[in-house]
Amino acid sequence: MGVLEVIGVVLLATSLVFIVVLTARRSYTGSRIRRRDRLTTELRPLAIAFVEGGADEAVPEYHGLEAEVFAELLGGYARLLRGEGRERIAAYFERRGGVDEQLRRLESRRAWKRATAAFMLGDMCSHRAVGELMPALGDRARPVRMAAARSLGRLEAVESIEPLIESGVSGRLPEDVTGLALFDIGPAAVPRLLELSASDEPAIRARALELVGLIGEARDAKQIVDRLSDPAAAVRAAAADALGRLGAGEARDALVRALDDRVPAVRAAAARALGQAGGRRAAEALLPVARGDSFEPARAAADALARIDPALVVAAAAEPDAGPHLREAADVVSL
Amino acid sequence: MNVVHNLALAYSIVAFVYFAILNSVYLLLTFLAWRDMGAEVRARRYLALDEMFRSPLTPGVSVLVPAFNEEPVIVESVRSLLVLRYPRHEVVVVNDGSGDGTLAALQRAFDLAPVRLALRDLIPTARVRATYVSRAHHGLVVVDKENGGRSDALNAGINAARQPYVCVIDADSLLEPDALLKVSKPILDDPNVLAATGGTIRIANGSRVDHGRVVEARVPTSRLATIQVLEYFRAFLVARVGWSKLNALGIISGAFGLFHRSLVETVGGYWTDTVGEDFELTIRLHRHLRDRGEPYRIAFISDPVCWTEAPEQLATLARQRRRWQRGLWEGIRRHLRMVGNPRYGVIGLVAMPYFLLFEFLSPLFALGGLVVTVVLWLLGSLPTAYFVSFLLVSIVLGLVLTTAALALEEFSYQRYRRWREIARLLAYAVLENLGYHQLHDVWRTLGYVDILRGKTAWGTQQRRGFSTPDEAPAVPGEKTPS
Repeated sequence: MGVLEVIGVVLLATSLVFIVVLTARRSYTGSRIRRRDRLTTELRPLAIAFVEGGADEAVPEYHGLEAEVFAELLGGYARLLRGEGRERIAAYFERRGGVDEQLRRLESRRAWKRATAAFMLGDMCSHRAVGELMPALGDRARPVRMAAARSLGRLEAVESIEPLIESGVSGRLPEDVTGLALFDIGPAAVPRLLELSASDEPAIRARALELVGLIGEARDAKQIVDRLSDPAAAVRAAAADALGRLGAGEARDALVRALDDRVPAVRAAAARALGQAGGRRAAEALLPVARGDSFEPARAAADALARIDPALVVAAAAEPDAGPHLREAADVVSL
Repeated sequence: MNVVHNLALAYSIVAFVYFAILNSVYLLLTFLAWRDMGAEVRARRYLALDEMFRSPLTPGVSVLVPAFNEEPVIVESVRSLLVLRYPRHEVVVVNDGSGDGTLAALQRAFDLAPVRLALRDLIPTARVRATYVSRAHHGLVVVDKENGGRSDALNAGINAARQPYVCVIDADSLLEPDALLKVSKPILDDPNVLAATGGTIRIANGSRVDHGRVVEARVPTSRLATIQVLEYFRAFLVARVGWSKLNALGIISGAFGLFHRSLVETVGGYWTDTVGEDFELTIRLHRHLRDRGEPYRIAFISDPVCWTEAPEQLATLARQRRRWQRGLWEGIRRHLRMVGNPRYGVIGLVAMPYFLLFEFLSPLFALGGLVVTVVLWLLGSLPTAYFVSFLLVSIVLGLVLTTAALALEEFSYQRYRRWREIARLLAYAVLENLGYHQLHDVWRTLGYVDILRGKTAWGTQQRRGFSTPDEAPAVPGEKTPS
């Protein structure tokens, strides 16, 4: 038998192996998917009844795929619920050993198992997991760190605020992941974020301000107005955006001054914020920016004006020096 | 005569070596794709798409849809895009001077109102005639411009986009509801490194489509489209996954790709003098980012899916493949200095030489090698046993690569529910070797002729429109862009 024939036979055998594997896999997963779908339909009413206040004893002792499907259903509802429903879910997983099982898996040598466990612990609602999830923020595998951050947010773990912020700032975690975790933790994170808004590092100051804007309250605004004169443009822009989100009327004058900033992104952020703050003074200041500034600030100013005073936009757009952004805003207002 | 004979024999041997190297590369890519598949499937358990969907930090995406004579498909396509599961996105349709009722269909379906949109002028385009916003869906913008080709339409879309990311798709394509979230997730998790991502393209022919969604994936009834299903499996589930793992992804398909808008603006947008604008832009992004010396990645994500309509007629498919060959050459020619250049790392040393030697020149060796080998056998210069073994090995190797891709699909996605569909695909995995591959090489050889003749047009393509298999096809549209 020549070399070509040998290669041909080996390849043919490989191909047959693929076909056999494909067929076996298809048979196995096909029945498993059908069973999973059936169980999901069957167990959903019980899961709903349970989170709505049904007795724990009414839930049978599930095993195997049934236990997996019921846990998935509860985990899904955990993402939608607050308060008592979450406590009931936590109690269920604690009693049935689900939390302990995932905590053990968090020690696995395989990264995907640790990541899955870190993720599931967030859906099990048990605060007992926080102590184990915080070290996982320093895990060597990025997916594990991300899943842990997400779950700490889901568990509203106030004690994780500091490490979350540090992980985000150091680049160990994506900013959108830490940001969302802090957003989930909510206003409790604001005092520390306000402290960080005075950090020596511009990136930290900007990030902290952005998050204060998302989870803070109007009363936090007065502590960040000064940041509109920060030496770093990214921080000034973040401060302006935050002030806009907080709806801080007392920052209006400072925001109007920020419309003269030398950096377009800061002017655009100030314009957006003034659109939220509103008022005649804001409208007067926005009009020249909408008419003649560079693209992004002019667009933001025109949008802000449309929000504050639609009639003014329509009137200004009819003038010969209106510029494209006022015309666009006027047309959109008229839709 | 002896010299000719010896040359033919040498050529036959070179073609054989070429064939061996090419298939070794395919086998390596298959291995990489299989290795990646397990990790990818497991990672779905902790993907956190729900979190991304509800996050106020998720940045917006402008979905750009260039449209030229797309009347039969445009409304359904836009409907599917408007209901994508994404927290903040807009749809920008660019009507590139269509000669049919594309614009009128959009006006009827979405109640468009003329709005004088302020457009950026960073990238020059053909004249914009008018811009519209839908009264029913304020997130739908339509830019009506003079015909300038697909690249020009995309550039106009980039100029009109308001969001920091742009997702480029074809007008005859349907994104799955989660596709935008899935293709964005890696880039948002690593915005400083990931420059662009692309998703999988699948063939929609024969599948059941309802309100712009593929509700049941089916293998096409058309033979030609069925073979293309296999081609797309190999191209997307194997080759692109493999190249992406090597950090040498040379193309993000024009039918489904996500980019930082500012990065595309920085490199000057799409090049309008090519029919391979997606390949050229991807290579240009590599070149730009390598020249700047910044760490970056351009990645392929196999999970997000875009369904597209494949040509079902030989003539249409031939035009498409000749165009692809031309586009490939135009991209390589423009970036010839990257080929084999260590300055461009793995993309210069591996991907670009691969595109030149094993993609662009492959018809010379595949088709030429086959013809010469057959002639030599007929002349009695090759033993029949060797000749038959050679042909069988070629076929079986193709079968291995295709069954590996099919098994990959089965392990990771299981889109096709019926056994008979898998059986049909397996049957075509054998049949495509007996004529189709050779025909494909003929088309690509004709692509050389187009290049030599300096052809620049796109050619025409029939549009049937998405329909359930039981429905009559919509009125065909004719695509004849400049």
